[in-house]
Amino acid sequence: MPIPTRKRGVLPGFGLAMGFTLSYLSLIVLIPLAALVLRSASIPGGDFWRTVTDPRVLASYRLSFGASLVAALVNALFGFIVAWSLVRYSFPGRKLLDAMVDLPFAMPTAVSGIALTAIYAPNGWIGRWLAPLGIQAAYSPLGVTIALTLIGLPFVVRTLQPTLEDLDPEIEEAAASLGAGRLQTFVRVILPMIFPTLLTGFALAFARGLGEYGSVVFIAGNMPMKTEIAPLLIITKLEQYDYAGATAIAVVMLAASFLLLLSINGLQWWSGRHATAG
Amino acid sequence: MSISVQRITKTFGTFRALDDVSLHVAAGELLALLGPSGSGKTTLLRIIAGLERPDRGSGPIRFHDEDVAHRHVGDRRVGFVFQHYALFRHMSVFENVAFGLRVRPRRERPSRAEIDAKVHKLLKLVQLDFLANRYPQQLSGGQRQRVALARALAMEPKVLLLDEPFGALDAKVRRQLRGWLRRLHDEIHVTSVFVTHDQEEALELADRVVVMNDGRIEQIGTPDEVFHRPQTRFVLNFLGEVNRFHGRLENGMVHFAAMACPTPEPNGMADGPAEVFVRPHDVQIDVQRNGHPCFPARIGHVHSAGPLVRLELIADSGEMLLAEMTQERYRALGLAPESRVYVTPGDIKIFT
Repeated sequence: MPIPTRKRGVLPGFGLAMGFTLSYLSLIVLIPLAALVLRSASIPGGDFWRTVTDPRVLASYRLSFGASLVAALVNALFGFIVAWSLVRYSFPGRKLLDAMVDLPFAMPTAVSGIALTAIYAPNGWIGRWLAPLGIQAAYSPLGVTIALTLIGLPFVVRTLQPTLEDLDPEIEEAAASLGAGRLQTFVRVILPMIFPTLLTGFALAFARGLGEYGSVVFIAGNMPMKTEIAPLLIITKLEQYDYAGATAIAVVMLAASFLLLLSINGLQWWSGRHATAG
Repeated sequence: MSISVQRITKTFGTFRALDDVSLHVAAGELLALLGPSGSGKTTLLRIIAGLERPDRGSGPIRFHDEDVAHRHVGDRRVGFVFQHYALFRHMSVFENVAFGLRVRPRRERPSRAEIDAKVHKLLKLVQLDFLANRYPQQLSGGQRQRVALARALAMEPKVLLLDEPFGALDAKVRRQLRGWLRRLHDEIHVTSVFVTHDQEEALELADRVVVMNDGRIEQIGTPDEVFHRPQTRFVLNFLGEVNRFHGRLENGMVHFAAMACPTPEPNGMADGPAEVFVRPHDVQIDVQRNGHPCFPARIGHVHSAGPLVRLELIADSGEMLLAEMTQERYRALGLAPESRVYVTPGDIKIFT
């Protein structure tokens, strides 16, 4: 009777790879997070609830999640346009522009924060034009959103680029030859094909925005109830040696981020269920 | 619907892909554009489709009597089948075929039931009705090809254009689909143009063949005409194997490889150097002189695995040539490598 043999891949087999993955993830991600949760478990329930429902904390959650969401949406739209231009058109300076996309990755976030503040402050280059219009960019939720948009852009662009490069121009030509207009081609053909990737970029930008601290604190102004982000509150609590309070805020953020990312992943799986390699 | 293009030129940068090409395709015809890669055949097909614009100063592109040169590809009603099918991978087979109907302006759009009926009818036509709910990745290459064809036919095209329709398939599937496409064309009779670099495909499938080289049309004719009466050296060389000799024309006689014979037709070619071409299957081999003009040679390699025996011959005057003969004749003559033979070239073509 023939004995079924296992398929052998190029890299070391399932056992080794899985073992490595688990221990690596445990050391880097799971154990620190577990410590956080354990720590918060030692806080009396009443204290925990009081900390996380404090109006100031709730306001910071609203700002953090709201601004990250708006910034990620803005990035999904404009990041797509940037990625499309970089992939589809050749123009002088394209390589330079392509390299510049990574700058928000490389710059210390405090540097971007200071730069943004200088530009968007009421007497800054852009801020002075916005002020007469009644728009206050720096020291407002808008400023927070601007900072998070800058930080998130490379995630969307870099995620989309390979997918757009794989998108065969023949597909668009096929749609055009079948009588589809530009908008129909985009909505019915291109968007469904890149949607799972766009979601990945969106999720990455969103997650990055939630955790961002350095670039935001300068432009935000950090007014309680108005422009305080959750990570700042955590730092504030730490500085006051209120480790339990800081942990409580962090655990709620962690849980909410995890649920959001999980649902985005689910949506991504659903929208990409037919788009396996082919 | 006939297609007529006149004086089409197309350059990409400094590369001239098409150089003053004119072509007429009769209504209901199945025409092949045949040529090596870079000969401009795909560019010509894409210009007919409207996927590429000809250079300024090019002539009209007419469908029937209507100039469509300035119409967008979507308004030309051409069914275009891409070399790599270009199926929409996030849509089922059914949705792929229905696409051309669904994107019509609301007033012209058929009802849901009509679309349903039409798509199923087309899928039956290409014998894929049972795969309507599958996705392109779940299909074989030949099935994808037929989905692409059904999708192109769904919009009731005036002309059908196919770019290397069987290029990405293996030899056996190619052969099957070739016969199938010919029968399909006889059934629906839509004017069709396909591009291929495979001469066998063009000669077997098409009503007429357009042989292209270097952005120009070398010859247009039925498969018989281009194969048996090539008008240019290129066509002769490109379609099938051919032996070439350097020779000389003198007083209506052609001298080459230690022999001389009358030129096949009095075509008024001036005396001087000439090239003489003979197809391997027109080379007759005898063990003795047979009274016809011939030259002595000896047999080199012999390839006998196949329906025909292929012989490599070395003429006493130094030229190498190929000959083909049936297995029976090879055995009857009692030939073997190193045998001495006399070679009688038949059906020679001369170009000066």
